[in-house]
Amino acid sequence: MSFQWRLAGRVHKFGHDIPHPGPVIPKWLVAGRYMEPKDLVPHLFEELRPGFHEKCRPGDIIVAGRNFGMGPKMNGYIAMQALSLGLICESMPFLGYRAALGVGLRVLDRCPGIHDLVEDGEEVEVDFSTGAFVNRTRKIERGFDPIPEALRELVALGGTSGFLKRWWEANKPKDARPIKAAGIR
Amino acid sequence: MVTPGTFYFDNDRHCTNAGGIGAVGFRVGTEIATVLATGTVWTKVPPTIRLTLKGKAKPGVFGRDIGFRIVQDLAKRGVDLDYRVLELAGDLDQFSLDERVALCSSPTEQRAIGVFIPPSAKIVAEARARSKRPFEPVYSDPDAEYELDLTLDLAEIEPQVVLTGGVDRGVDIAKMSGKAINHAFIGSCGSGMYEDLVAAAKLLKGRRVAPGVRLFVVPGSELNTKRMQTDGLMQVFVEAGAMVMPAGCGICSSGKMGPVHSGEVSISTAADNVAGRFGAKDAELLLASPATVAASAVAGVITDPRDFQAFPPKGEAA
Repeated sequence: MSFQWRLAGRVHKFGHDIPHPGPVIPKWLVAGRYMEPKDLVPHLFEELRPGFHEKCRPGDIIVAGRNFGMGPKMNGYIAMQALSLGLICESMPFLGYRAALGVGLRVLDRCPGIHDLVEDGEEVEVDFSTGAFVNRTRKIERGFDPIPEALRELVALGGTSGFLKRWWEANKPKDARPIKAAGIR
Repeated sequence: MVTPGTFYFDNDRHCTNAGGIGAVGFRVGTEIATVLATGTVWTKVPPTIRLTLKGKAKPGVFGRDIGFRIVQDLAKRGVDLDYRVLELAGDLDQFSLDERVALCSSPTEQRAIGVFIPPSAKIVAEARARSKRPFEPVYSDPDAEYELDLTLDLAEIEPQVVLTGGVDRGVDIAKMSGKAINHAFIGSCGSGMYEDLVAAAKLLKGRRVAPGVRLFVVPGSELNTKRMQTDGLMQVFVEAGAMVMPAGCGICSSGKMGPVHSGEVSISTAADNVAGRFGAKDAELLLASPATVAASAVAGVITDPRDFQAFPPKGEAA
């Protein structure tokens, strides 16, 4: 089965300078280091849009402006990934981009002008391996920088843990215990 | 382990301190698991900002003071350090390894991914004497590209006191002198090196911490703790009425030990001073150099360490 690089869905548009702890995911979940999707999903964007997790659908695209997700990060991206969402923004801190790719999220972090190319609820398509963007509602097409080729394997494997699982399978000693027995999911 | 010229990945972002010896460490957080398993991990080359330090620091002005001024100055100029390497240049020979580590602290809190201080011949020689493996120092190419190229005059820097809420909120100590304090702490990744402890001990020797003030001293390493016991520093701190804690992050790391209480005023060498970093959220968390913290703990009010006349100009010290 080939990895799905192209997502098609509705836009959930957020503004510029949206911090990660608080607006993206409540601070208590970040400070408490909650990392399980079941704990995080119900709270994604709840400060800005209560019930977001029930309204969004797999393939929907979060669109943000400049400087998305400042502050301690990762938990919100786990929730986005669990909901099969994509993320495109004008800019985000590199460590946020790193955290998002690390959980396998499809993300484009350099889409200049994207904030003004969409409105909430519009139908869009994004190919994260080519950077091709289509706003089907407005019939606009654009090209942005894709996920770099060197990082696509990481994303396709579901992020760092998937990457490490595959690495372990290829490199483990012959007498290694199965991963489950070692207590690793 | 880390020598001049080393590039490495680290779980913790304070690995920027490696810049003090002329190495560069990048924080990768939980992806350190990938590094441990596979030996490496992906990264993106960050832009570098070069800051040339010119002139000589005044006596009584320490690495932390300069670090506070650097980030304050960059913030005023609108420079964002997020995911940048800050490379220092200029009149750097005056800084020892311990002072170089102190210089790395504040840019880190302003989200620099790395700090690089080109190692002097003296630093390289010190590293060679201690390193168990061969190494070659690395320097920027003469035609290296910098995102920004800035300068800062060291001679104009006064001892700093940083107001609660971020390391870039420093003011000259004259503006804060005389403010009563309750809590004082010397240590953290910014000021736990041996020279930091010596600077504090110099002021505390033969003096007592003021009534109503508690002073905590946290050596940066076990090695420092041992050295303090053999060379008399421990005695100085204990006789001054300070509480010496186990080596490590101490109070700075979430305040599980020796925290501040509601309404108190703390002056410390902590790495950062966002409200609530080590105790009550409504306490004032002021930052300063180890010498200023020690002087203030003795006086009970914020005090310029130069008032103690413990710091003659460099080279003239007894």
